Amino acid sequence: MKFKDLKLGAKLAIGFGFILVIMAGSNIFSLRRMTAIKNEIEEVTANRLPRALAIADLNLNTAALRISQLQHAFTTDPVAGKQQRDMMSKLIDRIEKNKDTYERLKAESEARRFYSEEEKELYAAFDRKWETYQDLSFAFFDLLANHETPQAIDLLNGEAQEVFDNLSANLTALVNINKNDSNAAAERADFAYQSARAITKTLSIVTILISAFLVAGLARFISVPVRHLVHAAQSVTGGDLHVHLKSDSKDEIGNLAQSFNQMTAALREARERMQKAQVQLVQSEKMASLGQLTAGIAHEINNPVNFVSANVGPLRRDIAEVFAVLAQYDEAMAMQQLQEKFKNVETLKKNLDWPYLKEEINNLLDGVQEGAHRTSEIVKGLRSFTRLDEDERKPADINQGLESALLMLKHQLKNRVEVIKDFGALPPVMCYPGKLNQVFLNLLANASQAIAGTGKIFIKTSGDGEIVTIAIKDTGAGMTPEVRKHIFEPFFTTKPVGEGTGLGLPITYGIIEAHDGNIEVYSEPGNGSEFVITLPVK
Amino acid sequence: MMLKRIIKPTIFFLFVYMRMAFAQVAVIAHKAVPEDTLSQARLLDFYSGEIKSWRNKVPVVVFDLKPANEIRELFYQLLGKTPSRMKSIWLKKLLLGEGDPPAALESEEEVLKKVAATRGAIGFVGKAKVGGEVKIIVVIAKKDK
Repeated sequence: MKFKDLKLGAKLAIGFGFILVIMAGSNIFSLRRMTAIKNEIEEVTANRLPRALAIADLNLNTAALRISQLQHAFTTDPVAGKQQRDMMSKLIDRIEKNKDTYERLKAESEARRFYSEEEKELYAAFDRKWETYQDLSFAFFDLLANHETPQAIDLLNGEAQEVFDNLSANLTALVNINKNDSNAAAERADFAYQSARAITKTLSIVTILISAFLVAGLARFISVPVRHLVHAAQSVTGGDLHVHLKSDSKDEIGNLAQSFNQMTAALREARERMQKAQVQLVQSEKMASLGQLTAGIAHEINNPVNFVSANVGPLRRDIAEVFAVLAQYDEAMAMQQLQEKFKNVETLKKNLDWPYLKEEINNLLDGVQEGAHRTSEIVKGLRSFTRLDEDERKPADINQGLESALLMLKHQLKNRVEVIKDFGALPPVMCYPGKLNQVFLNLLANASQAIAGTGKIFIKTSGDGEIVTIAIKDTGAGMTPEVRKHIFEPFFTTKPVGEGTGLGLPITYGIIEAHDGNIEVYSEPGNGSEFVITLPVK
Repeated sequence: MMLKRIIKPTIFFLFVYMRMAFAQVAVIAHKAVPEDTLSQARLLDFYSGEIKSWRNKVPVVVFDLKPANEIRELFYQLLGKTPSRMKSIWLKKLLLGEGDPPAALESEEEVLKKVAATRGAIGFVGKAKVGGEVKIIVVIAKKDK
């Protein structure tokens, strides 16, 4: 588990625990050092120094003993001799006491492992020499008792002197050892003190640094994310729902940031859905009112147009009859009996340009007929847009419908537009097949017309058990957003006057809506257009 | 490491055992002395000249061995006093005229001979050396410290 994944409490505990461990370690180290220093000092004051003193005293007492022995050799007065013997006995007592003291301290030091092997050997050597010296002393006193004073003095100054010198050297060495050991102990204590000081100092600094890091870390882990959260909340209040908080930690603040992100995402989605619904509502309201309007207009236009359409036929027939009558007049004029009278008629006909008049009358009638025809076509279209013919729905293959629409446009497309089909396996769709074919024809014709020179049309169908999707995409001119907004409105057209009725897409829209489907358009100028139709299978 | 742990005590034990086998000290006395055994404290009294005669008034004659002798070291260990400490005691007694130190003989055989020959004598030799001519008072085996 990573540090950033821990809970806040755990993070704090780890941080402070770390400091605590370092401080405790530092203190334990210092205390141990202090104990070591105390032991060294105790050993020196309570043990080494008294031991050195005992040895120094021992050295003095043995020297005094030897001098007393010499004096005794030269003494003849029995009283003085007795005093000297008492004196020597006391010196031996003192020597024994010195040894007692030393051996007691030695035992203590040994128990504490402060007694060196070197000192032990030196003391043993001293004791052996001391025994030898005592043996020589016995011999010395024997010689004195036998009144062999010169030999006794020789012994004391010769063999005994040598042993004594050795013994004394041993004692001096012992004193020195204790002195050196004391110095070494002092040095060790000093080193212990210095190292404890250095370690404590270093660890104090480390602790301070770590504390500083911890504080900075706490700021990073707590206050910075909280500040971000506050900023984000303010942005949301201001209406910006696209704020996203980084939440890479798994502690409480990380959770909070995640929840915040989820909340803004939900809000954003809700707002988008609402906006879309609003647009759709406006659009369908608009289409509904347009539908009603155009239905009314269609109805109102239909009646007068019917007059025209109905009247043109009889009028044409009547005029033909009038022309027949006039033809009879012409024949009569050729008989040259009513010359004078008809001369006027002839002049009038000439003035009126009679042949042209006849042609023009026919042309005018053609025009009226064409106009009436077109008007009735428009009305028919408007009716299709507003209301479907009420035949029954039946299952149909959408792919087949597309194919037949393509067949009808064959002459328009060939050699100019390449059609790329990507037909998926589709379930039969319950629909008005003729109407859907009209939709496909419409869209494909539009796509073809949008392509100025050569280009491509992509047709893709896909579907599942509930919904079928048909996408028709061209590589044509595309539309501006302004155009795109109005394409489903009746009579809106970008084609030259007379070429488009402006009803193709509104009719398409009406048909798709009648199928409870949906049509969407994606287009950009220069990048072609794509119409995506979704139809429920039902 | 493990081997050392086993070998070291084993060698030490063998060493001690052999010393026990070959270096047992017998404190001996003239056959006529009235005591059959002596405690360590009493032995010390005999060897430091505190007791000068036996119960039957026969004077005590103490024999020592010359230094640098294993048997002697063992004996002084039993007494609980080092030779130099004992010598100090005798040196004082000599200076105060309270007695002479025990005679230190060259060899165990000599001690054996002297003890057998001297009334009220007490001494010490290696146990292996002892025959029927003297009385064994105490047998000391080398003790571990």
